[in-house]
Amino acid sequence: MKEVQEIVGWFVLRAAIYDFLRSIFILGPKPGVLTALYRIPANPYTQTLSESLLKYDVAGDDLLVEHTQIFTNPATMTAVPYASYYLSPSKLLASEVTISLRKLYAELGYTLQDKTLLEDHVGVELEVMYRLAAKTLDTLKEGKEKELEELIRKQLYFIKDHMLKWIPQFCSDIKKGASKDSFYYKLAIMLETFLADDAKMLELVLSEE
Amino acid sequence: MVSRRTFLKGLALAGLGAVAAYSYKPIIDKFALREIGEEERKSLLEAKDGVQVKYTADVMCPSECALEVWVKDGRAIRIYGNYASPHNYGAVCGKGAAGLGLVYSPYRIKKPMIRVGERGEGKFKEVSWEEAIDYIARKLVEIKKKYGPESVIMDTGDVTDRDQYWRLFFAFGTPNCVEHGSICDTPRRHGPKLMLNGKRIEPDIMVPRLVRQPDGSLAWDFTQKARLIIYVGWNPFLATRIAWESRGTVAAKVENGCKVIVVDPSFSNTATHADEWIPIRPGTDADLFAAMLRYILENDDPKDPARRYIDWEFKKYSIGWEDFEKAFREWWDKVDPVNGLKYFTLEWAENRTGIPKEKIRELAHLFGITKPAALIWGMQAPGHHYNGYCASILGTVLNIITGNFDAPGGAIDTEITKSSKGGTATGRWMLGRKVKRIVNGKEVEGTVAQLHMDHYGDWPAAWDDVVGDYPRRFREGVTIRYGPFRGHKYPIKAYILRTGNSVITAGAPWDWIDALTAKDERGEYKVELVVYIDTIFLESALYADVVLPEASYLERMSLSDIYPTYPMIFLRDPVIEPLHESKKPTEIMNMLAKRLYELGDTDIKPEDFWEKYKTEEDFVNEMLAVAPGRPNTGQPLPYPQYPEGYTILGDPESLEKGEVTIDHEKKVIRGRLLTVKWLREHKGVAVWPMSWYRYRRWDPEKKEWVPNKAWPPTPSRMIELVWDYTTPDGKRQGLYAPHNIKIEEAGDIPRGLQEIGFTKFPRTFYWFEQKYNPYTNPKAARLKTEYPFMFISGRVHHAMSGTQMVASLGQCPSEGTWQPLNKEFETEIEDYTPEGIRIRKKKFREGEWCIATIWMNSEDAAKLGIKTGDLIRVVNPLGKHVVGRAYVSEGIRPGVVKIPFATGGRFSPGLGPAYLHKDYTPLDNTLFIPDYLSPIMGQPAFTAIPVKVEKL
Repeated sequence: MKEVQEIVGWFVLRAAIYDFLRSIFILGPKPGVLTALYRIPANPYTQTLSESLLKYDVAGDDLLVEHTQIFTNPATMTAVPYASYYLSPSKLLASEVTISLRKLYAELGYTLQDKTLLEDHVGVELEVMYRLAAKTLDTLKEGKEKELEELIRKQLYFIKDHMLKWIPQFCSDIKKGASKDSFYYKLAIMLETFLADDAKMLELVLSEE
Repeated sequence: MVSRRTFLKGLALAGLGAVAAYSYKPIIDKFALREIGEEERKSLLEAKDGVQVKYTADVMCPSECALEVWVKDGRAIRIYGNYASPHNYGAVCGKGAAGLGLVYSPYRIKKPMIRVGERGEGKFKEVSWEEAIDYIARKLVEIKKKYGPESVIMDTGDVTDRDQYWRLFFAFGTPNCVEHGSICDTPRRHGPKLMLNGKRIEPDIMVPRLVRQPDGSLAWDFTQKARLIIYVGWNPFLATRIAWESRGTVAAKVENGCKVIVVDPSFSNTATHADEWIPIRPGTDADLFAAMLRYILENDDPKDPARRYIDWEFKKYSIGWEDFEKAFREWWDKVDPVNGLKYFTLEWAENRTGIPKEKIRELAHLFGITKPAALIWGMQAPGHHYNGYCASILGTVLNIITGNFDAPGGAIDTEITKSSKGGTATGRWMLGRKVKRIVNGKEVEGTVAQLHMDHYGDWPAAWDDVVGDYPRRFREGVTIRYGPFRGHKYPIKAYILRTGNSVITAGAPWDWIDALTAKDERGEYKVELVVYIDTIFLESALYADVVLPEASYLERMSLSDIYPTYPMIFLRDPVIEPLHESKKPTEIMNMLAKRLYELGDTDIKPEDFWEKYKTEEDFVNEMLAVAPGRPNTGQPLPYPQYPEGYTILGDPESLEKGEVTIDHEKKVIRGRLLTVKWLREHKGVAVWPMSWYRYRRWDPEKKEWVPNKAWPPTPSRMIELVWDYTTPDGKRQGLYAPHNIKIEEAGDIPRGLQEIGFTKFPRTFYWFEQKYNPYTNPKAARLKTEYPFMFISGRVHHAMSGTQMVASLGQCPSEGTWQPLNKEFETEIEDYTPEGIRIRKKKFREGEWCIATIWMNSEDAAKLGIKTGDLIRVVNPLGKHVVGRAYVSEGIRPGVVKIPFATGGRFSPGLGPAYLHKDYTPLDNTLFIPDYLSPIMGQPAFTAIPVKVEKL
């Protein structure tokens, strides 16, 4: 049962990490978001991130400027935080990719309420994962085996069939706009690695053997 | 090994204990998504995927064509032209159709940002709207307290959808609310303004027209009536907001055998479709017009059908011809110090314009004898000339005396025939508010309007303001020289720029950058606050302290700003929700107004803003209340059932059905006021009937046509050929009169007039020379040897300043100035396919992409050893230079170099391929000389600047 315990630990951790990721991409490096890093149980993913924060003046704007220069400032941005840019042949925002996600979210029981965002914004996709991860924990608590399997399957599908199709390129674009020791460089590495690892873990859980 | 089932089961069981102890609280209790119930879920999943058709107005260029947009799932998916509008009549150009590339661009401004580095460094941080608005409001309140509200400039750049911003800043207390008109072509508009109180004379070739028929019905008229059009420095195929003129020109030629002559130093796109191209020396259009007028006056013979040039009926509808003619003739015996020839003779004009005198004679004769005809002068010639006023005045007079003004197939002033809009919503009435200032130790009272930096400062007759003079004002401040506040000085401390790119378009970029980054002795920026509001991020944004994202044209509501030959209007209707954090002008106005109010600005009243305009529709309905606002005049009478000469208000339907009230005292016919709702029910378009000869009426007693005294909207309601006169009842009148009164009272001659040796604005015809033309001004003769070329620039509306962010719009081969002379590069470029837009990465080899070039004549090039593709340098007398590749051809007059407008040297990243070529393409305005402001209205003389050319 040790394996099982490890997986449960992973499920607890992943909910916290998805929560952090959706917050940092939607809200930006707000103090409340950054301090949450230290509340997450020790793990290799957020550890390097927390370490990279030490070089920043928490009261200053450096991190916010880094965020703006990479994602928002049209004159400097290197990464477009929308799946459409990477997946739609038009590379334009609010594409057919966005619309298909709108339908997918409805199937999952969600709809976008923050109209300043689009369904394929990286933060929104990560929020979907957070919601499902939190739901997984609830399902675990309730011991609903069938629902649990279904839920895990949906998450794996979303990561593998959608997120991993564009997030690696997105992360590599983040790195283009960040120095190697910067928070966002580390965040890019972390996001890409964590998503891949999460997919592996979910696959393991669903595997026949 | 356990099976999956067992594993999951075990997991679920083990989870119970491990997870129960762990209670996770989300970091922030704010979610992008919300949970939905079964019913909502069902309705979302079952949503029909049908296409909705919506109608709106374009802003990819100032033509603002009426559009039909297809919307599916809340996304705009296709853009077409709207047939309901006669303005573009179903047509949409490649640029208009490419609009989705801008609206859905990943490089739009998505969130408010505040600068963190130095101006120009391009370093920003994201902030919330509340933070951004608070930052701006606090700064504005502080500036207002310290320096007065007048030290704030609200520059709306583009004309369209500006009204909310003007209203707010008029209420704030500054009269200095401007738009791009003053850097567009004010000298060109001057003649029509003085004589007709109009602005833009265009040929009567816009079809279809809605015309009243003898049986009382209305019918569409598609007939072309024009027989001759002379375009001087006007390139409607490429460089005008008057989109209908390009198809109309071809239609007039094909359907009516209309002769089209283009007078232009370069073989423009329009010239390629003309019957004749006459390459004139830059900056001498006024000289050509003066010679044409002299020839017509000297050779007119009413008895000889072959020389019946003048339609003397015009005298009945105008005042002041004798004065005008006298002033004009006074020059005839004077000898020009440059060439020793008598002014305005054919020989004199030949010497100046470089056009053979036989050709000038032929042109004058042809224009005099052909009716109907239209003489049209353009934005990039008289509009950008130091003495373009003289050309504009002469051109207007030529159209009037030949009987072509407002004649079918003749010349129509579209400024005074289009529908009115804006009304009280713009808030101009607030300019009448009383304010006090301490001037020279004394308290003085006056109106907000009397604090205007131009109208009461250095440029009293600058009806459209003087944006080209801002860098000087940023450095030196303003001194009020006229009116009650004479002697009052104030600095310019805030510059709010909305949908404009002044750094590139409003003068010399190096001068603007210098002024915006100038610091005081404390090391603070002299202009303390610079705000940039737009959908797209252009060079000027790099110099802003705050950047605000405005909803794109597909996401906001307003009205088209167009120049048709008869009244019509169309709605800019939001077809999609604003993307990202962008906000509509009405919301931005209300937010900033509210914050100013909260910070104690008592000039801002809730009832003037957020309490009054709950939605943008409220605002637009108020703007529509004055439509169409034109008098019921002309033949055929638009509404024969109503009194002639009365002002018409209301939607076309109610006017047609007779659902009107008539106010005989105010002379107003009022139907149901036009509303957004009505427009939506009519494909977004309202059209009222056209008529001609709108200045006359039939007098049944006299049995002749007489002036109707209702139109044109000049002070006398007649065509005015004098501009400062006294009426029989002793009233000083005319378009220059109020300015001359100011000058006389203050005893202070405006800087522009001083420069040309005038003491006040002339009463009628006047003449002065180009400041830097060595061929016409003895003072400039020294430039001839060292700077033997004349630099001209060509406006290209499909380039504009910002839409090049759509990659394919980053190149458009046009009139020789853009040639495929690129270096090898790679870019992402869109393909338009039946399935929609497809982006692909493509490598362009050398010679495959059109870039901004320097166009020069082959003879000149041969002398300098230059061939097409060579890198050359163009240097102005200040030593400022541009570098670019030469394009050598015979399609340009010798001695001239031409550079396209705002297409080269573009240094804002995100401008697509244009940015990639910045180091070897020329930015035309670099060659502009900052003090070369035309003396009457301060418009920068962007063109006809002496330069030298060097091979690199």
